[in-house]
Amino acid sequence: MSQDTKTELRGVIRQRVTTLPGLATAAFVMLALSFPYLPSTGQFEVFLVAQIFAFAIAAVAFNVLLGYTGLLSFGHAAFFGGAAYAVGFVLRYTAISELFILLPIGIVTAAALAVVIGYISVRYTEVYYSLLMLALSFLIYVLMVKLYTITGGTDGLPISAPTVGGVDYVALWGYSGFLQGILYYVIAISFLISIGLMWIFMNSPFGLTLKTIRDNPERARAIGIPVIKYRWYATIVSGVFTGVGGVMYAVLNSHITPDTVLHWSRSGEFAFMAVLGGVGSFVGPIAGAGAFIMIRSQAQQLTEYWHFVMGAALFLIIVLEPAGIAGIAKRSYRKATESIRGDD
Amino acid sequence: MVIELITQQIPLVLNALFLASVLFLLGTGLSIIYGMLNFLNLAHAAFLVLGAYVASTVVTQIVGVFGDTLGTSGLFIILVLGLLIIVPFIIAMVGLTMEQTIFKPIYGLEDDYQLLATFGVILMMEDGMKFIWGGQPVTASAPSELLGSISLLGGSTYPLWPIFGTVLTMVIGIVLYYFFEETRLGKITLAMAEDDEIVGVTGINTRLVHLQVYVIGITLAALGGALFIPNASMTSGLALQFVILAFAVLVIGGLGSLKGAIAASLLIGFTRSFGSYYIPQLELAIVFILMAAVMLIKPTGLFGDIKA
Amino acid sequence: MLSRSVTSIRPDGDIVKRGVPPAESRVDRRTFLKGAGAATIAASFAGCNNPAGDGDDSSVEAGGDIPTEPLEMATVAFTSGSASVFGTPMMQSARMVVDKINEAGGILGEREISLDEYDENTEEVAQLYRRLATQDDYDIIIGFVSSANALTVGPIAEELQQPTIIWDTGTTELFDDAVTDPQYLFRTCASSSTDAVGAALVLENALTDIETVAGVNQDYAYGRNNWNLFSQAVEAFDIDVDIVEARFPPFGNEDFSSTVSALNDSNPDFIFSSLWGGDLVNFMTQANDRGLFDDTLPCFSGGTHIFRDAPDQVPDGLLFGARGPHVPYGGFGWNSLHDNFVSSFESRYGESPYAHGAFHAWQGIYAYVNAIENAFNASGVYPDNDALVKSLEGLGFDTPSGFLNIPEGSHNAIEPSFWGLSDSSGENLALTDSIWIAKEQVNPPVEQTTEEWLGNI
Repeated sequence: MSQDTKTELRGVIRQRVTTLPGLATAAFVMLALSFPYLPSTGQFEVFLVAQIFAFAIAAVAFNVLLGYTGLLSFGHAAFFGGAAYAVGFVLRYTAISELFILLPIGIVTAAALAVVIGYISVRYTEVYYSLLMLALSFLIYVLMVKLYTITGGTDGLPISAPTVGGVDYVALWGYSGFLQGILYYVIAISFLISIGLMWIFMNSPFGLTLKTIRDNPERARAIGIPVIKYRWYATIVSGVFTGVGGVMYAVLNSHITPDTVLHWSRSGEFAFMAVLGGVGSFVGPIAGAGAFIMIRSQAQQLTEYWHFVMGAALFLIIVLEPAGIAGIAKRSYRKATESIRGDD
Repeated sequence: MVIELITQQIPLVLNALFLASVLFLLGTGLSIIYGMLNFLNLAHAAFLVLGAYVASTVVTQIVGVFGDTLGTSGLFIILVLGLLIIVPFIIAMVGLTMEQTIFKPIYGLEDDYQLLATFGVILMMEDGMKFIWGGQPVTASAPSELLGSISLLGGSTYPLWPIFGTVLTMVIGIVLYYFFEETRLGKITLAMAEDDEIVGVTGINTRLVHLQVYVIGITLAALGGALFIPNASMTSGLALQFVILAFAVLVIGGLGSLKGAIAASLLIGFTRSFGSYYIPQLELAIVFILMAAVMLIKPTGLFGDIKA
Repeated sequence: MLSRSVTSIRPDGDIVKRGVPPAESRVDRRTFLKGAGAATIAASFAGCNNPAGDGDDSSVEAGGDIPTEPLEMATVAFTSGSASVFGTPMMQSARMVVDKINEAGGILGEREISLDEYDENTEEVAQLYRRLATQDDYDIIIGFVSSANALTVGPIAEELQQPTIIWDTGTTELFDDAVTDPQYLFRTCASSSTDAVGAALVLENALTDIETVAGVNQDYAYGRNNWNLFSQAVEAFDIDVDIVEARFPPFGNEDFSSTVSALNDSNPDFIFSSLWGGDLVNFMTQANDRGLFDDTLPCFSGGTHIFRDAPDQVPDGLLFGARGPHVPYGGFGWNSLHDNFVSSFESRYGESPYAHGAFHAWQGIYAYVNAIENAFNASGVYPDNDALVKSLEGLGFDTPSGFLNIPEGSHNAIEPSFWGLSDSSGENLALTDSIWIAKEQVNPPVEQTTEEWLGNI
């Protein structure tokens, strides 16, 4: 083989390899959109995948802080549950039941909470940040439990099926038609748009600045980056998209309670998903959310000691594979490309 | 009227002191292990819960064996010895085993990862305890019953066990203070908190000191459980409650500060005791409000000097 | 310990009666038909008949098709967390009942039940329920202890048209607010109305010396629901007492000392409390230590489970309910089902079914089995879901706790209110001096919600 053809071949392979993520993304989008129509897909699978999407939005948003900014929040349930409760209140106290009104209300609520909670907490880092977020978000949890005449207390609020674009699909198609034909797509598309927007954010100068701060706050400060302000912005971006996840979760689950959307163990789950998927990777937490939901669902079927299984999973992934599923994927990807190159 | 108001406060003060005692035993261990070993152990509070469970078994066994043969005071002494010696010993053994197997690999990790990994550990420990003791509430009231109760000023009855537990904790606090301030090992430990490489260069076995601090911390939590249970019960799921309380002591008091842990325990104990008496609506939120308030006013905690 | 100002219960005999609620003796044609299967199964439980033979006979006579594949049943209750004090005995009881039925050949003596158990302690109860109903496709889902969970799955059950029995949740909101026109959702235990209104009636008709009343209930939906119903009932019946204190300690609390101090200082004659689990044990321990019960009679509406968990902490002479007449020991005149259930449970698990949930589990499973058998015996056809629902509506059958029925037009069983004084003098911790109130007195009429009913008295 001549030197020229060798270089050419390398070029082709390199091109193929660099577009592989692009291809994978396209395949993923196709699969997501056609999923309800796949032959083996039942109503439960549609529900489960939609739930994974809702959590994946929140997990990726969570990782904007943990992975890109280096802040571990134990208070993200405030944004998730805050948005969910906003939807619940509107449904309970007004005649509004239109998803395209409920969603912005949820997002604005999450944003408002993120502005306030973020403003207070971003001056702190490490365990102090984690615990301050925990304390502040717990106060919202307490409010929802305490003001039970308004909030339904620990019994929570029902979330009735909303109209979408003014059409009451439940009346038209029944709930299962609504779930598989409309709600799933609303959630899947919200997921794709949210992930897309966050990807743009994180690859913009804004995202790069965050990384600089994460890697070396002192140096960032020295070169004139307003560190605390950027952390605040990151908290707001993260909070807003966590809120999107919360709205989707609420509508899908059709009932919310303080324990399911506002408790700090929910924040812990987001962290779990991010770590499981890999905090160093943008898409890792998506895989993390999926894996988390599947592992837990399986473990709950297998044993009443499923908390042990989840605990062991969290512990082992941190000790054995701190880069998470994304780390495993990257390694096998590298091995694959090496073996292709090895063919030279 | 005024006298009645004053006598009303006596049980509240006693409640606060006992609560503070349990919190001190719980929080001090977490604080010194983090402050001196730089190991942030979310599962620390699970050792209190484990201590309480083991204490219930120890008490049941002792009552079963000696209940009929010994008189009241003899049985009480044996029970207290069981709670103060056997329980911490068992927990220390369990703790050391866990240190060798599961904590060692995470020492080098960042704080965030330590928090999450030990969150996994707490989930495993909770289910492990449930496997052994079941999900039902477990009690061990014999020591408290043997000790009986007294009549307070104003005529109300009050159990002696919390008072006994408070006094005992004070003694433990003084011993600890003496240990860290006056003994050689204590001074080495404090030095290690500053820079353990330098200490290592002087030929001191830092690993051994490390283990000693760790065992002291775990043992204190176990003692907290042993003093707590005669007056209450332990149920699976309560561990997370204590996790929050332990961290409240840590951030309010300040990292690695014995004085801070004492102050924070008293502050939480009194706020909770009086708060839930006079403003019961806030009971659920008191600890969190306190935590947020102290952090906002003095980020390093009341006695901490390590920068946030 | 027993220097309480009120130690004896003096029931008026009209509303509050002595003893235990009776099993139903009158049998009209309708209840006879409906009761035929129940009798078979009940006999099989007692082991004094050959039920498999009976089942075969009836199926042959009726000539319907009993499916040959096993019936898929899922039970859901807390097997971890604090509510496992109820969930674990419920699962034990359900397993025992199903084994007994299967030993006798199964439903109608022919169709075996295949039982799977699921932990209710999950943040994703909607996901769990949907999986059971659609992917795993269970014929019947029986379960749920937590009100938040029952309120979550109720509407989904209707949406998926999945026959579902709520076996322990007490919240009145289930059929008053969340599912107002139920088709597939049933509840085979009474709502909290039985406990809270019952306690108020006891106050009015059996404890006339009481002047001041306080409440201690956990700060979550069940505690709030119970206290609201109780205080509404006190007002509705115009009972001559003053409510001097209402405390709501957090759910899952290790320290009740301030709450106890507050109660000591307000010094009520009577305390209504729906506390349960570790919270109840902690409260009792710290209250005993501080002499709270020396001159106050507490009434725990659902606390008998601690007779097993913390017997040392139960002083004699406290008033206990068990969310209905669900106690293994005490009272007199229990039917033979009761004695059989208690002794079978004890010989199998080595402990007494002190948690009322064990009885509720029995009721949940037999409600379903009886409904199937009644429908089959009446029509000769094994019922589909719609026929099953019809059969459950208006169902009545004898249980270890007396006669249980789901009134015509309702999906909610009603139970009598039952109370007794704790008594450790016998071989087993028991409720003695037992009293009960007829179910119609403590539950709203079918066409009214609990709130409407209490508002109209």
